Amino acid sequence: MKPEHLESLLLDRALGELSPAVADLLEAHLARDPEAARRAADFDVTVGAARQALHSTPAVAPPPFDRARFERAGSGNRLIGRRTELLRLAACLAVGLGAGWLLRQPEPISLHATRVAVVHPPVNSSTTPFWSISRFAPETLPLARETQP
Amino acid sequence: MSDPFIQLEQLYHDTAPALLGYFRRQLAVPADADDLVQETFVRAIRGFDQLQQAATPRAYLFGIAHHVRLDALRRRRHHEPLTNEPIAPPTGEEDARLEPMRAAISRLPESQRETLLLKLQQELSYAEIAHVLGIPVGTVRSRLHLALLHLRHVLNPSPSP
Repeated sequence: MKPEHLESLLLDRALGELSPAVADLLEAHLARDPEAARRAADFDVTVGAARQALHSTPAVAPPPFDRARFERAGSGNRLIGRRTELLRLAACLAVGLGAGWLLRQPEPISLHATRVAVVHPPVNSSTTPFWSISRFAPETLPLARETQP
Repeated sequence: MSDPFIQLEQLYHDTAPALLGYFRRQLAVPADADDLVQETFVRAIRGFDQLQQAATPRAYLFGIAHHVRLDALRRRRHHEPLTNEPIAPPTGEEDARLEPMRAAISRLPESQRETLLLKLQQELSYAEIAHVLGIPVGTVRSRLHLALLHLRHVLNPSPSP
């Protein structure tokens, strides 16, 4: 067993935190290893002294149980609880209304599309100039006519 | 369902002395400790359902006490650890090692000292201390190990490795 693992186990043992199975295994190991047993005893002494030092404070009685104060605290808590519940409901309502407002449709969308027919005037190649728009892009002819002064 | 205040009163009688000892170990003014015990139970009654559901009500109360103490320290901005506490004067029969041990405990980092106090004075388990302080069990274990290694060195300055 690695020394650092053994030391951790010895400290857990001194603090009473080993499971019975691990404690049994460790005791068997300590029975075979006098140096480890000496260190275990060392930790036991340390924990015992620390416990004794911490317990040497004179015992003082706590203040008597103040039932009236605790009842006030409890009733205050019930009022706070009711208020909190109402606030939660109000918050849910506000969130719902806000979401509805944000997701609203401004106006109904028409499902019927209007079909627009574009009629191009026939192009007479003999009368139109060679560089005429109507020769190369007849679909822009109406737009070109509109933009002419 | 029985009266919660009767249950709380029983818990108060069982736990208040230990809580008082905990606060007196951590604060300079003993009168504060009385108030903080009361404050701990006021907070406990506010969350009485959680107290009833707690696996160990004692550990749950110490968890509240831990936060009450931190809040008190923040409010007061003073923190007088073990050295200024009302410790019984050493008697002739008292083990000579206890005085240096007390001084050594008072010099431990606060996190280690509080963990040690919960373990050795309040006899809480690693898991309960972890719950009280809101830290992993491994951290509790390492804090205690570091504290004990330091205290061992105080008791026996040159132990063999």
